[in-house]
Amino acid sequence: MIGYLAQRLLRALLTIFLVVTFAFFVLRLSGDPALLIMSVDAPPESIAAFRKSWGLDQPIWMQYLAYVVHALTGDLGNSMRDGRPAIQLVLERVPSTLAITLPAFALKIAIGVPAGIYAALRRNSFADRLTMLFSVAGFTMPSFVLALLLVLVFSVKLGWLPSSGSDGLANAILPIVTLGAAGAAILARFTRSAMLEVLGQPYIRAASAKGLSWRRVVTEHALPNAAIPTTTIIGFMVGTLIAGAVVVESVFAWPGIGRLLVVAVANRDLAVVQTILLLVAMTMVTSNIVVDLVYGWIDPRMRTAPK
Amino acid sequence: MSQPLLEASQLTRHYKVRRGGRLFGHAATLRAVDGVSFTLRPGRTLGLVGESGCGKTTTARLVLGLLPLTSGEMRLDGETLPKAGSTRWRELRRTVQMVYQDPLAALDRRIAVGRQVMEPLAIHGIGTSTVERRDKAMAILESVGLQAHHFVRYPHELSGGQRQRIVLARALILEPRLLVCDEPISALDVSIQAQVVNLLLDLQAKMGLAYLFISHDLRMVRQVSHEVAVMYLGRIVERGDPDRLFSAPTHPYTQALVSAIPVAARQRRQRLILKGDPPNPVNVPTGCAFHERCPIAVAHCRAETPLLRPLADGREVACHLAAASVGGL
Amino acid sequence: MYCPAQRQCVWKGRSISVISPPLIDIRGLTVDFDAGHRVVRVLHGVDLAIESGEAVGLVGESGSGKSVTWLAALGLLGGRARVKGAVTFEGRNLVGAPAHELEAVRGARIAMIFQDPASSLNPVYRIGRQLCEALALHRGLTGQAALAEAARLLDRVGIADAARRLRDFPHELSGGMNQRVMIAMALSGQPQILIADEPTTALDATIQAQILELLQEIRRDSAMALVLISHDLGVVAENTDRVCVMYAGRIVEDAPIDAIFDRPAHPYTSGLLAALPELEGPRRRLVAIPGVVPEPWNLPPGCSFAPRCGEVTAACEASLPPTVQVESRHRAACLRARRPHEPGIGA
Repeated sequence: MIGYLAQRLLRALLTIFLVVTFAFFVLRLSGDPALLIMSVDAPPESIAAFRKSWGLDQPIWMQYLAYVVHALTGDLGNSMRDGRPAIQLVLERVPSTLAITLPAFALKIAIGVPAGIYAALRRNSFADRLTMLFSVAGFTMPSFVLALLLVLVFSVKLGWLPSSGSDGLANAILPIVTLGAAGAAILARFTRSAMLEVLGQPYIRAASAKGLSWRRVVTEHALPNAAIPTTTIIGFMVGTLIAGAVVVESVFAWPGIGRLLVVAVANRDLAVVQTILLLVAMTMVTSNIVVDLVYGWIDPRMRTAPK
Repeated sequence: MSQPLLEASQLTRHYKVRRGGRLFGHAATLRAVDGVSFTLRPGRTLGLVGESGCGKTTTARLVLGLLPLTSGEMRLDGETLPKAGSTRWRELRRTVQMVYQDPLAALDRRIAVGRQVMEPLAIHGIGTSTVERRDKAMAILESVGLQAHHFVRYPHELSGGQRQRIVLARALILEPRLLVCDEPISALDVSIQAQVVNLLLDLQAKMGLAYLFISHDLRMVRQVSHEVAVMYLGRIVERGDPDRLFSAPTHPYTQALVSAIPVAARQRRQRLILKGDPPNPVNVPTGCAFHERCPIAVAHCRAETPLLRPLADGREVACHLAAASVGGL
Repeated sequence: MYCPAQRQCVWKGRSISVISPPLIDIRGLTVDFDAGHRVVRVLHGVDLAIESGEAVGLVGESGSGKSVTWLAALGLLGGRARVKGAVTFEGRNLVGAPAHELEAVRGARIAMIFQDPASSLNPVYRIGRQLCEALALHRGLTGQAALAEAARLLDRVGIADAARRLRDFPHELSGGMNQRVMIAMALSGQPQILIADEPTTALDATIQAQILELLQEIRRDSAMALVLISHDLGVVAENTDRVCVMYAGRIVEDAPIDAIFDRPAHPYTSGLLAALPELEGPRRRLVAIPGVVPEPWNLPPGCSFAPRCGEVTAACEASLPPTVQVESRHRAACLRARRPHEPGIGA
């Protein structure tokens, strides 16, 4: 077990390292921050001074080496816009993002999983078709369309909820619903097919033949097995808690990581973009490890090989 | 006797596996096929029997060149089979074709079966025009007992037996000389099995095909084979004439296998029932691989691996005790 | 029609003959599957009675209805199946019975084991837990008492080191071992009947012999009735007293084993026997039954076997042949089947 964990952690670190490296080079090759942050008609000597002060005049591999060395000591660089440490800027936004992604995550599970189970148990019924119709609509519709639709109905027409900003609880409702709806739709569809797959297995019929009531067959024999594939998709959703709200945060002007990322990319605020990508890579990788561990816990076949 | 078509000598296929769980096991060797030799002549059938994991399907895949050999050699018409993928290999390979267990899985369900029968011709660049290829496909369909109107059907429109005939037609269109049949009738209903077996025998008589016939159904193997080889854990343990082998098996494993066959008559016999399951091929017991389940094993069996030795009646058996009891050479 | 066994009884000092009802009596059982765009009948009125302690084989090809008969009897076919007819067991009709009544019969009175033992056990639970679940359900055993009984059952079905095996997961056991576990689970309710649905089809020959031997041994000890469903006449012949041959959703012949082999009355039965190769004696060319089994939605109007039958007459194609009594315990659904001493058409 220890060996396995060590191996997984090593792979995780490698993944993070690759993401960071890739981001570093792509960002530097795709635009000059000096020209974006200073105005284009700034005197050449001040641009040169800017470059020198941020180390942009060095060869790119020197810059990279310096970045890695600093990052390893915990220094992820400063924002080119306001000079504050990038890590500080990013971490400030985390609670704000989690304030909408965590409730949305709960909403996805609370709606998606039961809806999927229900649809599977009532396969081909009207209720099943209706659920799947909503599900298809939910995950084919781009989130900004749903966001605008919700704004149109609840803010413009009914005037019940604010359309943007972050002044209070009411502001969070529409972003949460937008995020939650799409995730719930995906989860419902996934849970349904996982459940159908399990219900078709011989051990389900064998459990009925044993004399168990249908309710017990479903809850004690079908659900634990259907949970195995469903866990994967839920784990993936955990990975998107930090960075999955870029579009929604932009539409609702919610001051989270997503909006920070959009602004930082537009400005080529290198240190900030890299810090966000590092954070995203870390959450993704962590959630993957957690999913694997949970997998081993609920599926005994992953724990041991046949004797 | 005619020249051998296929000579397989000491075919070996080992796999590196990890033991002790998925996570942090140590490397081990799985001996799927461990030194199997046989000769096949034109118009003859070698039946390969044994339980799952005994290596009969791996042997088939080795013969077809679908798996590389770990060691050993194969000769077709006396010519050593060159490295897989070379031009000469491809030419030789054409003379060996395969009939699968599950015809539905072996066919593409979106393509009319006639086109699937023609396809190998195009792949090997045989025949100049589509018309020529179509004529050839029609002729083959007829020879496997199908009619022209089946040409445009799709696999799901045909019955299991008809699908197996299509698979057979597709293999035969390249005019192979050896057909490897891996459980060709196991997926078929009882009343259809006889149809397909009779067809295989007729085709053999007409075209002089050689068959490597793999099945767990000993009765069917006896029906089609000129020679039978019994495999246990990657090795041949007994080989010989099917009538003699099944009426008086000498290897204790063959005896158990024969005795396990339920006979469709009321003559209930005393049955020899083996204890336990076949061991894992990663963990083959020392000496004779069968000794742990063998009812007559002695200490010597644990120490030394018995080799295939000829008996007086021309059979070969790999058992220290059987050779002695029958008075082997 | 099947004649229930007559028994001698003593009543008020006089010996009288009474007809005891069979253990389970299936009458006119039909099953229709709703495939959405059409309703397909897969079982066409099956009559089958089984006595206490009897061993009956059900033989037929895939789709002949041999499994469906018993799944329908136990209400295990799911929502898309419409079951009609009567299945009388212990004085009650199981067809259309409320769920709790069926649940009380399943496993406890009539147990069932299936073709693929490895996937008939739940992969996420240990063997012990699954056995204890059955023991709690049927015998009210829990905790240590259940574990002890579970270990005893595993021991009974020939699993060595039973107490340790209870902690294994199904994937850690071989196919043969899993089928033993399934049999142990079936025994946990001390049932009157065990339905074994192709119990050895997925297993290797030597393991098949082990499992069939075990079933025989259990039957000798427990007087439990056995219904052995198989496509293999040999398996059935060696393990049962009586065979029902099914074809296209009907029982076409029902007779003691000897009669089936010595004097099959239905051409399908004799066709099956001729299509089987033998292990000894001279090799002969197999006599194949021509054609294919008709699809359930495309049955011929008369006898379903008529298109493949070598002895077909115009009458066979006109209407369904009635089931006739050939001998006292031998019935067949064929116009040409006659009592051996009667000057029949096919004699």
